[in-house]
Amino acid sequence: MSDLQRALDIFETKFGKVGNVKFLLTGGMSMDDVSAEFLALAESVANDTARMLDSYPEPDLAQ
Amino acid sequence: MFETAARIKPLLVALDDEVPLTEPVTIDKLIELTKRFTSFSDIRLVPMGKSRSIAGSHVAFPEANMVVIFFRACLGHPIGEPNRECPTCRDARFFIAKELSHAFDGDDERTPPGDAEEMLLKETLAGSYSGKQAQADLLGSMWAVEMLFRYHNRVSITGDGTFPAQAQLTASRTSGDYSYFAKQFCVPVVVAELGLRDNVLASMKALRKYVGLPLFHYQPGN
Repeated sequence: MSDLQRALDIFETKFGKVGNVKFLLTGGMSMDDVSAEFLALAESVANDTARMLDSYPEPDLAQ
Repeated sequence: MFETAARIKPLLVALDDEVPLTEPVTIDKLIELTKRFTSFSDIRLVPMGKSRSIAGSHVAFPEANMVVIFFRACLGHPIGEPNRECPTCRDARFFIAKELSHAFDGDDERTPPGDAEEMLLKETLAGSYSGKQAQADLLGSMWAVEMLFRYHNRVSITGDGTFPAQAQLTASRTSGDYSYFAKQFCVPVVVAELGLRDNVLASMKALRKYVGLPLFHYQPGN
């Protein structure tokens, strides 16, 4: 199973079925780069270490 | 493309009705309108600090009516208030707008988990965009331009010479430096340049005509 699929499994476990996933990518990357980064994002959300903004104004990002 | 244009039309109309053309569109407003015109009632932004390859990502959970958007954030300024002078903030606004546009994707444009690697990432990385799912990803960037650097502003700037900004456009086209417009509308420089190209405006005019969007929108004071 790829890191990408692992990431999507993590999201499904936390929030339910994934219906759509899209990426805006920058140059010079590989499939492995993107998958590994996306897995890290999924893990940060699953572990509640990601800051999920749902209202404004959000906290000062400089902190 | 036409189907997506029809779906996103209410958002573009509401933007023009509710946000003066003289003001940059806020991310807050785009989120409010996306909630109003889609089934997604919960839209979360997740700022990313350093990211090597992902500038933005959209993950939708239809059963929870939820969208999570990851974006490469500016670590110096909050995203809620447009910061015209900061190129990283301007980039972040574009990344978020692009990912928000995917809330309007049609059924055949959505990429479910099983297709993500084959139908989206491989094509996106290869730059082929042959499948509808990958094409939708590309089109998202176009809709982000429309949301942030609105058509009516661009028509005014490139119009018949009666608006002061046209002198600046001539200067930008001569020098190749579009930072004036990037700052004015709080978008990346590349978006300002792209949005003011005659062929891009002509394509958007045809698209707007097809789906019944107004071709010129007058707001008092603009």
